[in-house]
Amino acid sequence: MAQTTRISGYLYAAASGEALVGASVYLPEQKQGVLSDNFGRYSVQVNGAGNIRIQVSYVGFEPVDTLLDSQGKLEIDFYLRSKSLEEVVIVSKAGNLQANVAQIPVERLKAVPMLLGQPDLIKALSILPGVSSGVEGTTGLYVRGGTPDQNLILLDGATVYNASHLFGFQSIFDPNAIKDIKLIKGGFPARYGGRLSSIIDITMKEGNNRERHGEFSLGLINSGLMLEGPIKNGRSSYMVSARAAYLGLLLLPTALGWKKEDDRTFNTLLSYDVNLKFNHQFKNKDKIFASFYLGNDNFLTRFRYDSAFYRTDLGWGNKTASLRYIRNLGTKVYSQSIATYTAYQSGESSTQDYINSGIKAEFIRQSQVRDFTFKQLFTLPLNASSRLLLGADASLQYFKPTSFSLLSNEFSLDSVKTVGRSFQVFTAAAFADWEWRILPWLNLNSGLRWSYFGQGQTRAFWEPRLNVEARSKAFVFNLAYARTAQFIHLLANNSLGLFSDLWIPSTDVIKPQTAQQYSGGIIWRRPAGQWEVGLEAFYKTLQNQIDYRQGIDFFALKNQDWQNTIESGGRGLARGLETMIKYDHPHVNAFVAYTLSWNERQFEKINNGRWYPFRYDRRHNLNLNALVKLSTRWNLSMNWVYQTGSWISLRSVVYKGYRNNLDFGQFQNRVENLWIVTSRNNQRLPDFHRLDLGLSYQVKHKNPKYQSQLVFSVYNAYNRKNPYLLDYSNGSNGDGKYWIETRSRAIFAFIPGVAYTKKW
Amino acid sequence: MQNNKTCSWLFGILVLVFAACESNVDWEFSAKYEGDKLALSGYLSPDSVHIFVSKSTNPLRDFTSEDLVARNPKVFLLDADGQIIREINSTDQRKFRLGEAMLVPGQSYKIRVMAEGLKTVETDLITIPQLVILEQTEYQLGTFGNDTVHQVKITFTDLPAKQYYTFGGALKKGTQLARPNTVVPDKEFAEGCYNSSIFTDICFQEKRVSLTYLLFREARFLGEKSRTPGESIVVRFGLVSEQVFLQGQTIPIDEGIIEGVNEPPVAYSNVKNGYGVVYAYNVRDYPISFK
Repeated sequence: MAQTTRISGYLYAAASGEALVGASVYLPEQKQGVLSDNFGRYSVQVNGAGNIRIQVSYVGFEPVDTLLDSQGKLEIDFYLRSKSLEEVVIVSKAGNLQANVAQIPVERLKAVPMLLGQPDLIKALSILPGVSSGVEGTTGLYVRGGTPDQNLILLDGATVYNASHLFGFQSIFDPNAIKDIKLIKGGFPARYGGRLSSIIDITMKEGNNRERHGEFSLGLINSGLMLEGPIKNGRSSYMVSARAAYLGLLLLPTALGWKKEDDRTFNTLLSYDVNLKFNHQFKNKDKIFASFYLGNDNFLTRFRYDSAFYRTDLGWGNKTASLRYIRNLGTKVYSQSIATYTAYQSGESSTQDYINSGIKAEFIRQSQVRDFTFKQLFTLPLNASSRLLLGADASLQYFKPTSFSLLSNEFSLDSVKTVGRSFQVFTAAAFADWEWRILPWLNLNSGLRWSYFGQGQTRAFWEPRLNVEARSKAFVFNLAYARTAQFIHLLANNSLGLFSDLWIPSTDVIKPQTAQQYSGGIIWRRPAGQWEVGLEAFYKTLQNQIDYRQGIDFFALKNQDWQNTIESGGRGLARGLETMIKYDHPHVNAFVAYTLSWNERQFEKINNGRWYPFRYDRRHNLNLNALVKLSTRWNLSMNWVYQTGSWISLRSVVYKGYRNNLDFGQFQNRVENLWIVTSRNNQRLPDFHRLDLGLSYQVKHKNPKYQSQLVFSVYNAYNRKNPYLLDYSNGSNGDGKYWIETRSRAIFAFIPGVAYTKKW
Repeated sequence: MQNNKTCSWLFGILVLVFAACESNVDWEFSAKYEGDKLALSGYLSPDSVHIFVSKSTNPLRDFTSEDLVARNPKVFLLDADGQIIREINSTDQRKFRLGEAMLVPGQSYKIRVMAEGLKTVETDLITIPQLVILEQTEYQLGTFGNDTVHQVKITFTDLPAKQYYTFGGALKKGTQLARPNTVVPDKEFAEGCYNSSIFTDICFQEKRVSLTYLLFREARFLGEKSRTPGESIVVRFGLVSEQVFLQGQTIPIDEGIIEGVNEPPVAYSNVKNGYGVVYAYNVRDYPISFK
């Protein structure tokens, strides 16, 4: 039997000491390799004794190709040197193909042209197969037929509940502060849980532990500054970034100077976020990371109407904190201990001030989620061909979905104060991921997760996960199964990620959501590595979905227990086929992503119990994306997206009858034309398509310490009028004819943008 | 000041970037229309039956009132087994009314309608609710802000099973009933229980319940001095069938909303092979004299 052993270690950027996430470690003679994890750690099996050739590569860095003696040291760290500016290859060559997973370098995602030239990592993920967007321009992602709340968004391990800024038009993740982003669409490792459809695992930059650097960005929406540097040279570092939207800052003087006497409307929107991270490496290679995020949006409108002043404040924001300790227990075993805290809250306050009567009224609504989680993981190589990842986590979550209060000096009775019911939820999970190389060409990644939910009636779920992968020189075959459970729900009117979306826990009435996903695929890569073609299929069933009851929406919650406004027990079915063709060349990186899919829902009391298409059931979803290096200084990027139109419910029947005809106990016999919807989502909007272009220029500086980039972009280059809002009106002409008019409005027409970044 | 102008100017530019881009989009309707069907609306009460008959049409093309008229409809009242009790007559082929119906609370009925060229339709079973008796009524004059209001307290015992109550109040001037514009429940009732003038018994749990209502507007005009003998408050209280509740949730008062953001629900119907809602109610008026 051939001797086998295992080589492990960390991959770092030589200049900054920052760990390289998703870098490739490849053994060409054995045709196998791995990608480094979120901390730059790798671990690869070696068959046979003697010298082993090992190749380490990462986009933007000089590859390492070296011979190692497998009889020698088995814990080896690599430090990769970054390429000079002229040499930087703008493409990513994935070292190790993986089905169900997309790990795209942040720099590549930043190159996807976006609205007003502002890069957005979350929105950029929608160019991938199996991922579609909802409302145009917003950050909500629909992964393989799931909904945005079914995506587990982790920022350094802390759950993010609302990833939207600026009413959903920008994500909260500052590209300058993010090192890596990974999307898992299926075959989930058992260490991930709590959501049904995807994992979006985001890692903040750790900071350069050798030199101080900074990055400044100036855009039409907001500006940001990132600073990083060593605290103790080579050992510890910091990274701090801050970003703020202009509108609020520029209008702040006006806001402060606004007087009630002003006969005008005043609106402003303040949005900001701050990221902070520290890390330290001990002499024994143990590491500790602490990261923090703080972000808020505040919208204020003031106006005078008739004889009253109105003021409305809307606000929502996240706070996260994460503390992670990585400990090497000998040369093979290492452990991760993670403690996280997340707080998300949203609210609104509306006041009315009547000038003449002196009556004042204030309506306040608040919603909160808080989450404390502790997670412990151990990585244990069992032998040279298999390793086990064992772990457990426990969370204490606090939900206050809604609390309303109405305060007024108008009432002789006490003011109405409705304190919404709050919930404390305890969840826990134990999990094991077993990675077993059965044969040199056959891998089995199997896992089992046991998750527990304690609120009212306690529940426990077994969540088996299976991922089988066969590899040859040019092909990778994959089959995966995952059962997932989710104990929280998002009650949303739409996909905008607005303050009105409410996170609610499962209760005795509303059961936890579950899903099963089967997926399989084949990826072919031309041995030379320039071409890559992938084909994947998925079949997903969803249980215990929720929606607002018929005729109920967020605004109806004011006087009701939210549990009474929900239709639960819904089912979902999504299936589809995803293809991706990639072309990698030092000067051109292009890909075509196409998804053919069906996505349906069924509730007993919605649509009379019949299945109906999910609103964002897009039959065809095509993305053409290219990044072309025109010269050493100019890069051109383009993205063309085509999607089948989303569904809406259109009033497709009219008859004469009584409407709400028992009003205050008295029969109203007024006959009207009633325009009704007879089946949900019965009309497709026109197909959506759009071309975005970006042109970036590397500004030349006398001092090579500085790097600047100017990006010009055009959103919707050929001015396609894609419907955004739908207005409905009906009436009658003088000639006795009735008419219906459904106007849809496009607001994102040809929009130019410009952004500037400077690094030092 | 200059700063403010500059800020407003910049803000204006950004707003214009979006607002100027707003434009209307033309597109084709493809929603499936299932053909013309009979549509019913109306009610059953112990005393009377009232049914309005219409024909549906496709609103995605121009139409006239004539397109909504069913030809020679015939309306029948059926018992729970589907046996015809009697035909209901009409004066104009649209409104069908049966006075002194003598329907029995707790019993279920159906309505069947046939018309030329259209499929015969029949409602699901409609049960006449029991009458719930107000055990006590109390009245006093109160204030709400600057307004004087009639404050009415009613007491009753919640009936078993899920019930849908309705409450209304009116000022009686001579023989005329003037419906108040606003009826407000007291705060205790408002916490999680109150929905509209039709509400479920979710908070009552078959217990004896007291609710307080404020009746607005008329009080403003009458004032305490204006309360003259012979005038009174009339409280209407009783039960309605679930169909009223479902109709109210799915056929909203106003259709002219931005539907791309807040879509209309699928309209509830209890008419097989057709459209519309026929419901039942059983209410009683309780006059409360001013002291």
